[in-house]
Amino acid sequence: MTARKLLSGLIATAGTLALSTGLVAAEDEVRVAAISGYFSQGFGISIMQGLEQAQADLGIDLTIVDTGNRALDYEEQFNNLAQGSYDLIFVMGWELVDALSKTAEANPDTRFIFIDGVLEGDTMTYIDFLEEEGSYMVGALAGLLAQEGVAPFANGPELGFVGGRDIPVIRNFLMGMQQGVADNAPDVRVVDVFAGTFDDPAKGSELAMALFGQGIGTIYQAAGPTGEGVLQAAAAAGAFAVGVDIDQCPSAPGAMLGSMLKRADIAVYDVIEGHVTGTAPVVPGTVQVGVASGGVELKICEDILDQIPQDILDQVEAIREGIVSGEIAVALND
Amino acid sequence: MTDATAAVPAARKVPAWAEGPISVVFALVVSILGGALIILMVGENPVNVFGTLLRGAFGTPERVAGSLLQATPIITCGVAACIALRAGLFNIGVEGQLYVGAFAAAWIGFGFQLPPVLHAVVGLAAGMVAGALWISIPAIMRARYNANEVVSTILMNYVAVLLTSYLTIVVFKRPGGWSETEPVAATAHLMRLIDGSRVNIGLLIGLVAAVGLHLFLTRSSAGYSVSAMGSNPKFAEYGGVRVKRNIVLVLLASGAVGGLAGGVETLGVHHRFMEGFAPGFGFDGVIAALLANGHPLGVVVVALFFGALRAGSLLMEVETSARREIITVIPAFLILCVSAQFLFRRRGGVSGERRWRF
Amino acid sequence: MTAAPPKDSDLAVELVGITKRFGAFTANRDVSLAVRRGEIHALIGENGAGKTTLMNCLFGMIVPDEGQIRVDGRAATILSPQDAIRLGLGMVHQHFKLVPSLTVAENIFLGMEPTRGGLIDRAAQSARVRDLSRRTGLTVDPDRPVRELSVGIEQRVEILKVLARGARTVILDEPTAVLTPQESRDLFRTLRGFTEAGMSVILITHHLDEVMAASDRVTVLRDGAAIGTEVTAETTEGRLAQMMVGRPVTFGRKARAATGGATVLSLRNVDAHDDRGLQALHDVSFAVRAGEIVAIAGVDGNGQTELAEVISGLRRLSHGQITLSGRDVSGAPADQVRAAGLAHVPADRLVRGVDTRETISANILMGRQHQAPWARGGIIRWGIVREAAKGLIGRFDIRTQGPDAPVKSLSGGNMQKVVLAREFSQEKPFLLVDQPTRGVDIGAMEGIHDEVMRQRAAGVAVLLISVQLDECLRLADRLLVMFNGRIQAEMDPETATLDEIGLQMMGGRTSERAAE
Repeated sequence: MTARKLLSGLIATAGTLALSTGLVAAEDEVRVAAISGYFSQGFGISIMQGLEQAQADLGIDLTIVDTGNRALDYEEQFNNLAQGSYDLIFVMGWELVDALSKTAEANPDTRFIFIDGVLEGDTMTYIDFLEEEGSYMVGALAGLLAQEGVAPFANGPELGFVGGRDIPVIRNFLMGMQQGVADNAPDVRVVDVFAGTFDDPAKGSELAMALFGQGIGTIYQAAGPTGEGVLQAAAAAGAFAVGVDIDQCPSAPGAMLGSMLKRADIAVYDVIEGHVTGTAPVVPGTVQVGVASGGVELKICEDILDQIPQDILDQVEAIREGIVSGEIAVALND
Repeated sequence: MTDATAAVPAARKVPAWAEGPISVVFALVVSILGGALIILMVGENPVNVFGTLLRGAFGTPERVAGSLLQATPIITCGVAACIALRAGLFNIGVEGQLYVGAFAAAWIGFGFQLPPVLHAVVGLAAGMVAGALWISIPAIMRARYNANEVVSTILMNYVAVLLTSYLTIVVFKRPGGWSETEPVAATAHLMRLIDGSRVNIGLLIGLVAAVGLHLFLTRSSAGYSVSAMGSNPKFAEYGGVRVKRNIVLVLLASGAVGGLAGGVETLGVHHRFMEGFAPGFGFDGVIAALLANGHPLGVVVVALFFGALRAGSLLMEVETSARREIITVIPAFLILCVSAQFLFRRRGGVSGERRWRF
Repeated sequence: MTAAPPKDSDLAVELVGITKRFGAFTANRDVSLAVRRGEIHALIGENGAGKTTLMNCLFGMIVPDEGQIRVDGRAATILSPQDAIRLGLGMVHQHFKLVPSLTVAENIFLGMEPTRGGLIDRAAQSARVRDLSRRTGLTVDPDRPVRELSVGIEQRVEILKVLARGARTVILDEPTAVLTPQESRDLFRTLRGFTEAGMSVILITHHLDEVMAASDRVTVLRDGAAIGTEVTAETTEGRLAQMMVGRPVTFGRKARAATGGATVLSLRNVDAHDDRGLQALHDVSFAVRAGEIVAIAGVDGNGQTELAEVISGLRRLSHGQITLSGRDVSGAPADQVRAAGLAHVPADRLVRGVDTRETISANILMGRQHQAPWARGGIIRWGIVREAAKGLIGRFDIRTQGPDAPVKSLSGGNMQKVVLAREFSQEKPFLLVDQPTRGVDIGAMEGIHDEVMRQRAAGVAVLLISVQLDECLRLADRLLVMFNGRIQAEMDPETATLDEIGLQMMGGRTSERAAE
């Protein structure tokens, strides 16, 4: 008897809740979804900020789907989204590319926006961050410091790069950096390693320690949470690291040279705003976001800013202007 | 102080055969109520959430296919765990066997050229061999040195995941892609059963394995020896069963089926090996086998239920604000209920019996 | 002959009209039992007569369907052992429930440890055990782990555990099954000390000599009902046996025709080690011929277990040779020894003899699951197995619902009959019977002994290992006494006296406490 009472009580409560929290979404609300496995880290946090800002300012209906980590699920998750009559669906993560391409091909009218690079399908929209431009500036700054032997940053003619997985978007970071070094500090070499994972700070720390041990003074990391380990290692070794995606200067104060920001928050917000206001409805194609648009930038950490000689800061600023004006073209040789 | 007889309840009238199913249904009801409670706590409407869950699992033929797709690896992994359980052994390493089996099958698929059908068969066979090899070290250590296979098979899981990661990233990586191998040749693909769905004959392979195991255990002489070993090893030994040899054979068979589950995933679903592609299937299988009390046909039922839960929860996440993780509390409650019943039923059992029965 | 009804105030425990059913089976039918203060009350009956069920009702392990329990003259509700303990009842089970890795004191105070400052006060614990030991005469070393103790000492620990929980009425279930005659005598002396101190003892047994030696009164159960209560001093063994079985019973040496054939089993200079790696068999040599029963007598733990295991292929020998039916089976695995001609009734049926969760049919099959006609082409023919099981249930008078009943539903004696049915029906030239009547009642014992004699008459070579000396004397053509892993002596069961045999069982020395 008590069990039945409990059950009927539960159903009654459920019913009331259904009424109170029921579907009250306005009819003409723009419906936005975002799917990724990385909403809780670096770049993903930045995307979430843009989405939440848009939700607050523009009144969109927002659904977040975490892919989890089972490849078997991806296709069904995309199908569920495609059938959910969303106006815009943001996608981040290279492991999703297959499922995304299939679904996009089968649903050409659904607006999938891939935020992690450019793919082959022509029914999708791509937000292409020109991370190579920002990375070029990282290479230029760190290269100049190393070449001139500026203490405490320089420690010989080598710089380090720690990548997460060896995938195209991470290669872009490396190539931009290498080019920035080659153009501005030809005597400096870049030693690169890939951790093979984005999720292992211990491994990042280990790799960084090995690099610092070889006499490398500064490491640029593009490795998600793995990269956190690089930053900690820099602090422990009394060396320097360059962060990525978001402002990581506070992560290891005194051991951070700068952060290469990918302002996904701005980019995502701009895309949604353009679509909602009708000024720039989203269509298939590529939206490039680089140094010129402010979507990619190099932030030099404030606590060490005064230790960098003014002439180097001037040169870096000149390089930035060169990229904006197009005088300096950062090419990807793939 | 009252008369002792007054407090005595009437004897239960439940027939013995019905006790198992009744307790499972009871556990299910408790689990769903528990899930509902949690959904209420996160401010969602349980009726709405469960409705979406059901629609996601069974709403359309495609969604039913999605549930079957999710259930396939759990069935096969569950059968793998069952083989060991019924012989009184624990193979907690199904996960690792699935990974090495998946990789071996994919390697045959992309590394060799063979005619259709044969290519797939060789690929699956390679998966089974890899799974069996993977468990051979724990198996021999258990038979020869009585080293606890629970620990050794679990440890082998980590090695399997990392080894396949290494092979994928360093040795066989497809240039310019995610951490995955080259695609498997079409000749090695497993036949799909339903248009527009990735459900493939791997599902049938799993079902055949379950039925086959059931018949083996109940009808064959060797199966009789194996289940006697699981039920009372001293008795089996006394009756002339070669227990040590059987420990090795049973674990190898269990590992081979675990490898087969992996082969089915790469040749039937993904058509390549992706690093870290399927965390947890092996453990889901072990849990399904435990919930089914080692009964292979029960494993199928539990796996279908788990598959439906997973498929349903994918839609639930899109359509409601409840996160998918909430649904994982349902199997968790189930395990809790079933193991609690175990303990109650064990109380006052015949002394000298093993505490766990399979 | 029945004693005058005592006044309520004299009664420690009273069970009135207890009925307990398990499904269609009635384990206790309207059973009444009154235990006075200061008496040893024996409860006897065949296996399956309902002794254990009745005591489980009293101790709260199960709840009776009908009836009333009174403790110290007051109606009591006993729904769990905790209730029973609170009322001053204590039970020493047949299968000990001690934790091997804990010490004696830790076992005794498990769950009620004396503490000081939140920690277990080991010193106080040990001191209390010593004190209890001194008062009861049950000598134990409180700081020794239980795993190092002999069964006799383990039993003392069980009794101390019960006393430490304040028991005023102690129930002992088959306490002598694991003891030597000497240890049994000591136990009864201790129990007598308890009753002199005003406590009561309920002694479950089926050894009539023990009843006669140790009890004040005795209640007989048969088929779940109480047949009667007798004052021990005024009754006879024969009368009790008749009450138990329902018909007159005879004891004494089995008549036999002289037989004798070729040697079937022979051991030459066999050495073996026990589980701890200590040498358990020293240079054992003997032979068993067709149509002959050779008995191995001895106090439990003198190498009999290892001997049986070495012969049946369950333990490797470290030296020597064993031949069976002309084949060298030294170190052969169990299946090969069975193929060479072994049928084997193991000493501990719960451990080796049966799979309690399986059906009678499945238990009957063990050992021949690969042989025709039981199986063909690797497939078991369950129809044939079931029919065979049905036949054996009839032939061995196994009390059960049928071949599909799980063995765990059977009483101990009937489980043993399943083992005997399986092994005796194999028609092998050699039969190893290890403690065939351990935990078996008189009626069933008779049947088992007859069956062993029939095997002998059929020309089977029988090796009987038993700690029951009367059983050895009753059945054996030749008697070997084992002591410390050696064949101490060979004796003629027709002429040897109990004293002579007893002396050899103690290693030939005259000291009574040689085994201690």
